[in-house]
Amino acid sequence: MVLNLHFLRHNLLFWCFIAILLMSWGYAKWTWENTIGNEQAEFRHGSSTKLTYDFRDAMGQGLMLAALSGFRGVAANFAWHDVTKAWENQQWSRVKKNIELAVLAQPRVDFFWDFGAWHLAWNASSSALRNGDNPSEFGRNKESKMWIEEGRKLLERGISINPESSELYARMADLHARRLHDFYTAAEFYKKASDLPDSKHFLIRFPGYMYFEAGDTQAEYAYWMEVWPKLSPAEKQSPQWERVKRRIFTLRKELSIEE
Amino acid sequence: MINGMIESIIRIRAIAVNTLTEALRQKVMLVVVLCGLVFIAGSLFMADLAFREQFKFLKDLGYAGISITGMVVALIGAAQLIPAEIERRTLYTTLAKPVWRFEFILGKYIGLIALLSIIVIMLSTFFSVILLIQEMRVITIETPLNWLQWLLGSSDHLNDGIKSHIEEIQNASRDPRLIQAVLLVWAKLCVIGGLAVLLSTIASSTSFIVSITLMVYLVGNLLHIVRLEWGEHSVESTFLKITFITLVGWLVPDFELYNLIDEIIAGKNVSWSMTLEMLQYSALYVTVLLALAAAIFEGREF
Repeated sequence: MVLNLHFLRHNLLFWCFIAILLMSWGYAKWTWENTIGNEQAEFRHGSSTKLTYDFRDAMGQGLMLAALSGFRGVAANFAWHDVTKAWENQQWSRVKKNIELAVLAQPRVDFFWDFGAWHLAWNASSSALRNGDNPSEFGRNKESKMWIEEGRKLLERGISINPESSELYARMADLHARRLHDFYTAAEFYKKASDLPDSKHFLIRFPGYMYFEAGDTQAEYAYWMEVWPKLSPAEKQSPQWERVKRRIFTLRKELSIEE
Repeated sequence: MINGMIESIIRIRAIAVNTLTEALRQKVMLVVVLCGLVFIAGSLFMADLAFREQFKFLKDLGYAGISITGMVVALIGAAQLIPAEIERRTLYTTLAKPVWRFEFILGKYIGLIALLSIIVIMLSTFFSVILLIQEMRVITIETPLNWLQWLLGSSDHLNDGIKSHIEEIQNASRDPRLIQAVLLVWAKLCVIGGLAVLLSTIASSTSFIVSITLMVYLVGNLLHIVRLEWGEHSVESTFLKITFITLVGWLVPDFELYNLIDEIIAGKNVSWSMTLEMLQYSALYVTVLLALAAAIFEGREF
C-alpha cells in the first residue's frame, strides 16, 4: 500500500511547506537543546571541557578522538593512570601536567582534584624537601612551598567547580592545617564541609580541634557551645562527644566561665 | 477506525518480531555482544588504585563497553534493515501484502529497539555483577571481612570506622543512579538507530550507512563546541558560517547532552527530571527521524 505523493514533487507550495516545517523544527530543536544545555551547564556550575589544540597535543590523537566521541571519562582515566605512573617515578612536572589533563577532561570528578592536590601539596612538596640534587636548604624549602601552593590552587579551582563537594572542602582544610599550619582558615573550611549535605558526620568536630591546635581556647569554647545544642541526645552519648563534653568542662575551668 | 488501528498494530508487531528474530539469528551480533562482555570484564584487570579511582575507572569502561557494543549493533542492525531486504528481494513480497510502508519502517525500527534493549539489559546486568565482584575484592582487601562474610553481610562485629568504610565502598558500587546512566545510554542508542534507519531508506550500501551515521554521531558530539565558539566569537562569524552551523544544528542531534552520564559516574546527584527530559528529547527526535524515513520510503520506487 503506497500513498501516492509523487504529484507533490513539482509543487512549489509543497517545497515551501517543507522549508517552513524544517525551519520550525530546527528552531524548536535548537531552542530545546539550548535549554537542556543551559540546565546542564548550571548543574555543572558552568564548568565545561575546553577541547583545545593544547589538550589534543597533550592527550594524543587516540584519546582526543575518544574524548570527542563522548567517551571523555575513558580519556581522563588514561591521563589519570599516567599520574599514578609519574608519581611512582617521582616525576612531579609530569604528575602536574597529567592532573591538569584529567581535570580538564572531567572537571566534575572530585577525586581528580582531591588526589591531585594531595600529590602536589604532600608528595611533590615532601619530595622537594628531600631533593639531594638541590644543595641549598632555602631552595628546597622554596620548591616545597611552591608545590604546596600549587596544590592549594588546584583545590581552590576544584571547589569553585564542585561547590557541593564536602570532600574537597575537607581536603582544603587538611591542607591549611597540615601543610600551611593555618588553623583558623582550616576551621573555616571544615565548617563549610560539615554544612554540606554529603559531609562525613565527624567533620563537625574538626573546627573545634583546629581552634585547639591554634591554642585559641576562647574560639574553641565558643565553637563547642555553638555546636552542642544542635546535637541529638543519642549523639551526645557517643564516646567522641563525651570527650568533647569533658573538654567543655575543662575549658570552663580554664576560662573561668560560670555554667 | 479502531479496527484499522488494531490491524495496523498487529502488522507492525509481526514485522518487529520478524526483524528481532532475524537479528538474533545473525552470528555477527553474537560476536559483537561477546566482544562487549570481554571488554566489560577486562575492566576488572586494572592497576592498583584507590577504591574510588577503581570504581570510577570500572564504571567509565563499563558504560563505554555498553555504549560501543550497542552502537555497533544499532549500526549493523539498522544498516541491514532495508538494503538487505532489497538484496534478498523479500521487501517486494512484504510490500505486495496489505502493509503500509510506514508500518514497515515502524515495525523494523521497533524490532531493532527490542534487540538493542535486550543487549543493553544483558550487558548492564553483566556489568552489575562485575561491580559486585569488584566490591567484594576491595572489601576483602581493605577490611578484615572475608568473601563469605561479605556475602552474608555480617559486619556487626566490626568497629564504626571500618563499617563506614564498607558503606562507602558499597555506595560506590551499588549506586542506584546508575540506572539513569543505563537509560541515557539506551536513549542515545535509540537515536543512533533512528538515524541509521533514516539513512537506510535513502542509501543502499551498508558501509555508506554505517560510515555516515558514525560521522553524524561525531558531528553531534562536536555540536556543543560549535555553539560555544559561535557564542564566544559570534562577531567574527560570517553569514555563510552562521547559515552552515544553523543548518547542521537543525539537522544533527546534540549528542553532548547525553554526557550527563559522566556526572552520574562522578557520583553527582543528577535528578530524574534531567534524565526524563533527555528521554523526552530522544523520543521526539526519534519520532521526527521515523516520520522523515517513512516519508522518503513512501516516495521510493521498487
